[in-house]
Amino acid sequence: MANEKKEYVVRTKDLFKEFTMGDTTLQALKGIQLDIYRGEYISIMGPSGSGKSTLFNMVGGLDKPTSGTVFINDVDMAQLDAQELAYLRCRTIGYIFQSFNLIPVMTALENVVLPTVFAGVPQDEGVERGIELLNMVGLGDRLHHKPTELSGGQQQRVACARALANNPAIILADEPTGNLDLKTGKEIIDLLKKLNKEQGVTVISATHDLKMLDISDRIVWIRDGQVERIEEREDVQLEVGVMEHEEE
Amino acid sequence: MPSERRKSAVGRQSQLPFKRAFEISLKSLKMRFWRSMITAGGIFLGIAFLTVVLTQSLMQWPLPEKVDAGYVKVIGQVNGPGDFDAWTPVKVADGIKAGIPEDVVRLVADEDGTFRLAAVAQGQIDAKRADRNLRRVKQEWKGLSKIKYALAFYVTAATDANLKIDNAVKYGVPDYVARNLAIAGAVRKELDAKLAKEKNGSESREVKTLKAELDFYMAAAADRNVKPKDAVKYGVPKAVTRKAPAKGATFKGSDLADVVREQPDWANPLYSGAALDQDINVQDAVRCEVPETIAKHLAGEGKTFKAGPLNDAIKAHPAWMKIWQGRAERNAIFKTVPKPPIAALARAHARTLNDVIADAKKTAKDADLTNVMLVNKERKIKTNFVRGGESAGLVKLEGGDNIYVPDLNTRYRMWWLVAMSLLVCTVGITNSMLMAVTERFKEIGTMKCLGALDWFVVELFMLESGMMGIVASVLGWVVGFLLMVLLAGSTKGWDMVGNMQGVAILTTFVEAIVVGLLLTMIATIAPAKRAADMPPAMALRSEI
Repeated sequence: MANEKKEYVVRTKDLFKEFTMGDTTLQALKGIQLDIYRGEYISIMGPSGSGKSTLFNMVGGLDKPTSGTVFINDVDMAQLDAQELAYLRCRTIGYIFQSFNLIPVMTALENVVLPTVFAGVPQDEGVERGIELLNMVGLGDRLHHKPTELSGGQQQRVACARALANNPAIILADEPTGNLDLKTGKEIIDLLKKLNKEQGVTVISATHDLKMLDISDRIVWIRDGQVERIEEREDVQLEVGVMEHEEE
Repeated sequence: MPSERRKSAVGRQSQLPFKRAFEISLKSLKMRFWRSMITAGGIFLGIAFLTVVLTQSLMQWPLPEKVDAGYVKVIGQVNGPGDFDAWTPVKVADGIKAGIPEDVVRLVADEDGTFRLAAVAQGQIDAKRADRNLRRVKQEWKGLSKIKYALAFYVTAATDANLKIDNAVKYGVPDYVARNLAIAGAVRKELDAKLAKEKNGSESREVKTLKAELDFYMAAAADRNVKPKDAVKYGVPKAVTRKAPAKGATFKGSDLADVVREQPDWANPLYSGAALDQDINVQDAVRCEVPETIAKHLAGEGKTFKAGPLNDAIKAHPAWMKIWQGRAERNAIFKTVPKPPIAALARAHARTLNDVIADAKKTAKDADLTNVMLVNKERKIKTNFVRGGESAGLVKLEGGDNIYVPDLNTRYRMWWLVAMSLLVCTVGITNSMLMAVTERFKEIGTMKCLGALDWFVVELFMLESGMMGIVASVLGWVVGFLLMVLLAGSTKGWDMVGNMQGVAILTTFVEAIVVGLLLTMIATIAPAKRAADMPPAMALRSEI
């Protein structure tokens, strides 16, 4: 698939981001150059503080870079006004967060339906879509539970369903397994992979969970706000396989 | 440029209909019911406090349209509710119908067929005064007529006139004094004639004898113990004794004054004072039957007076008697007016509270039912007026009614209270709303990630806080109002509560809702706008 057409879904060019805290200026990103193809499953790896989340926010249009540009589907994000940006966040990108970020007062179904509300989808249609998605992530029996009544894994699965509500082209996952135990983390990773394979969604996942490496098409290593190296899956598969072998 | 070409491919997020926002915010309120209640509690308390203060300002004692008058006010006095304005024109026919005798009404009627109760009242007052004064003047005359002539006699004595013996005896001069003075007078005449003849200055024997005789008779006049046989002691030859004076004989006033000065025992202080033209003590005069009123009047500030003015007063007295007699006769007709018709007319034309307020408005434009206080007997009745510059206090009216006129400070205190309660309100509400919005920053960030527009987020919060504001304000008003009513009713009386005006109550309701809603919205819009304007990443990072 990657061979036949190299259509870029996300491209970043000379991405810089500085945070000013009092007198000190922190350079979180120092010229990130990254191209992501449509349908790819890409993992952004790096120790904490390396700038993963900042990059993630830039790509997702949740924050503005100090300099440099981000293209989503060849559209320069910096050129978009608030309404266009909202449109993009609503329909093109789905977000999954480490801390789930479900709306606490809404039920699982309402959380999933919310993006369709913002997209202006009629209510019945939105609810139908929400039920379908929740069934897909295996929470068909938990439609009317509130987030507090769900386990971490279940909450993250609701978050996944919500991210998919408007059929986005990209799913941005910021350490989706960070708050979960190994087993449920694996389930979420499997779910993401499944979505990637079956729905052709581009998945961009910031993580330091090594399990992610196994299923990633490419791994981008980030250190000190710079891309250290980019590895193809073929290159790391062996290592992971060895690790899995060792585990057994 | 590919990006230019592709940019049009990105649509614009459209505004969601208001109905949708309303549904979502209503759901949100329902879901976080208890948290909302706590936030609303802040608004509720603020508004309840404000309502208590506002309601308290409406509390007033029930005020009768007309307070029973029972008395008539004459011009120049404060007219309160229930007072009769004595200068209100009343129709002649009404007066007669009420029971005032027709001749009285006709007497005081104006040309336009009306009369003023003041005229009748004045007539009654005049009649009463004339009667009283006539009584006094007559009483005084009783005393004065007793001393009238005697006093005149002694006053004349002070002027050195010739006085007749029989008159002198009549007015209390002892017989021997008068007689000896008359003889002394004759001797002085003789002596003067002799002295006129002898010009060389040497005294003849006759002159010496006459001088001795004069001394003797003057001494005899001053002292009843001096007898004819004592004449020798004064150097009078034994043979010389004078005949008793004739009946019409006179003596000099100055001689009498000399005698009085020397030997005053026989004359009372009033007469001796008159004869010597000395100051007369009021107490002495009263003992000598001068009416106390006159003595005091003559003495004025001091304690003494002279006989001359007293004599003048006595002369003028009959004229006064005539004057009061005339007035009493002229005003006697007003005594025929019975009291009930006057009271009835006064009551019918009594001033109402509205009249008082209308008067008050002439001095203070903003006078109304809430800033004049009328204190009626034991009860406090609140009415309204502020008089520029005048200090607060009770203005006493007859019949136990008082008007309390509050000064400007009273009103400032009221505004100060309202301002303070508003401040408490603002602080409470702002604090609640700030907390409520700030703790949901993360939620706002999430919503923006899911495609919510900035404005939609603000709309959601405004709707939520607006609904909360209205509900809490209504509850706050109800509770504050009931609290004040129960408190005032149980402590001060239910009639005070019942006297509140519906429109005024409604006004406080509207005020409370508007204040509650406005403060809530203002306190919400700032943090909500701030959260909506932030990049979602920052909102998501925020931790409370």
